[in-house]
Amino acid sequence: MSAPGAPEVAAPAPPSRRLLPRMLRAACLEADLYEEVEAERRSVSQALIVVLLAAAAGGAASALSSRSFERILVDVMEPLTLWIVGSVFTYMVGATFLRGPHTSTDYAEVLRTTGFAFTPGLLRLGGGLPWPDVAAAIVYFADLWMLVAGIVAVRQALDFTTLRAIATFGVSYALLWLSFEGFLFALPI
Amino acid sequence: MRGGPRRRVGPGLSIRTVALACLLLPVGGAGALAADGASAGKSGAYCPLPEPGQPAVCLEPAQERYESFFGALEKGSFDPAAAARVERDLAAGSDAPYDALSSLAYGYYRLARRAAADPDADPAVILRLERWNDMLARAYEKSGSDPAFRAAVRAAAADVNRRAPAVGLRCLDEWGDATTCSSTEAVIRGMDALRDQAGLRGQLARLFARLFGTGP
Repeated sequence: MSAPGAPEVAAPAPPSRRLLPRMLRAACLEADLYEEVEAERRSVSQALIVVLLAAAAGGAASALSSRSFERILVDVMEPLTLWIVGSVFTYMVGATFLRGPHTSTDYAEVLRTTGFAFTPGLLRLGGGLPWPDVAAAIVYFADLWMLVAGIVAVRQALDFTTLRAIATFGVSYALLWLSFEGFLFALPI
Repeated sequence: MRGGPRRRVGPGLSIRTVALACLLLPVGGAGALAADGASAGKSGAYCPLPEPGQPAVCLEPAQERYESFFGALEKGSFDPAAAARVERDLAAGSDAPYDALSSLAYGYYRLARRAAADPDADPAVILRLERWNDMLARAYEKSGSDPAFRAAVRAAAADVNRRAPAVGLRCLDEWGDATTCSSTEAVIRGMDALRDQAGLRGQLARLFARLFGTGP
């Protein structure tokens, strides 16, 4: 209650929990959004939707470009693999070797924040445009944007500096690549 | 949720600044490339096909180097011996590979126009264009250690695809089956497929190829 005579100060409205505003904030690299979803357990379903939308956009672009079924499958599976498996390595690396003094997290937190970082992946739909140069530029731009969003997401999930987040991202991707190579080497078909 | 200052990379350098710089980098790079392409007569850059009626100023070094090749094209004919020199320089990586690349793209454009204008065109011209498609694809494959030249080869293929009129050429589709192409689209598709073989995308592609039995 305000003191007599003091002007009434309206409390700031709580941020919207709807998916679309959150996706826009994630695309704008808003750190508060990543903090919000980090803390909100149920937002994992929204993160999953974002990743599925990004996967669908990539797959649709491939289908529009008349690519083979395998290529379409690659474009659909890439975001899902990066999200689910990449987050495991991000969590492992960020919470152990590269952990910061304030790092306190779990796999689900990493999943929630990194999922929203796939928002710019919706632009991958532009990869299906009939002009190869424009399509390639859009996909490149979307990938770069997702990379930056991913670094912000990792930084917020693991509560450390941007440089540590970049290092975590790089080491995690290298581990993911090595593991996949090992898997492909050992695959008996 | 945890508190504490986390939005700054260093003193006075926010993540938004870093992100903006990252996002603007390719735009700046593209601008620089465009400016480079527009600047006349620089060896070490692909010279885009001139607009109709515009002089091809940046082609001048290539025209000096391959005088008989360009001379024949301007006369509406074709000199196989002169073309072989351009091809050799592109394949072997001469001291001026960009001149050879720009010359080949210009020759492709002129020959495609000739073939499109005359349905009974010399079959040797069609064969030459198919051969040049192969040469562009191979130049791209071989230029892995030189990203700038690799980008120039792709730019040349895209430039030709955009500007040259459609001609019926034999090529391979994405499944490796024989089909007909109108220009360099199969070459560009092959280049993009080669690029997709890197990183996680390449690994997933290999995995599915093995699962579906379509891989090597």
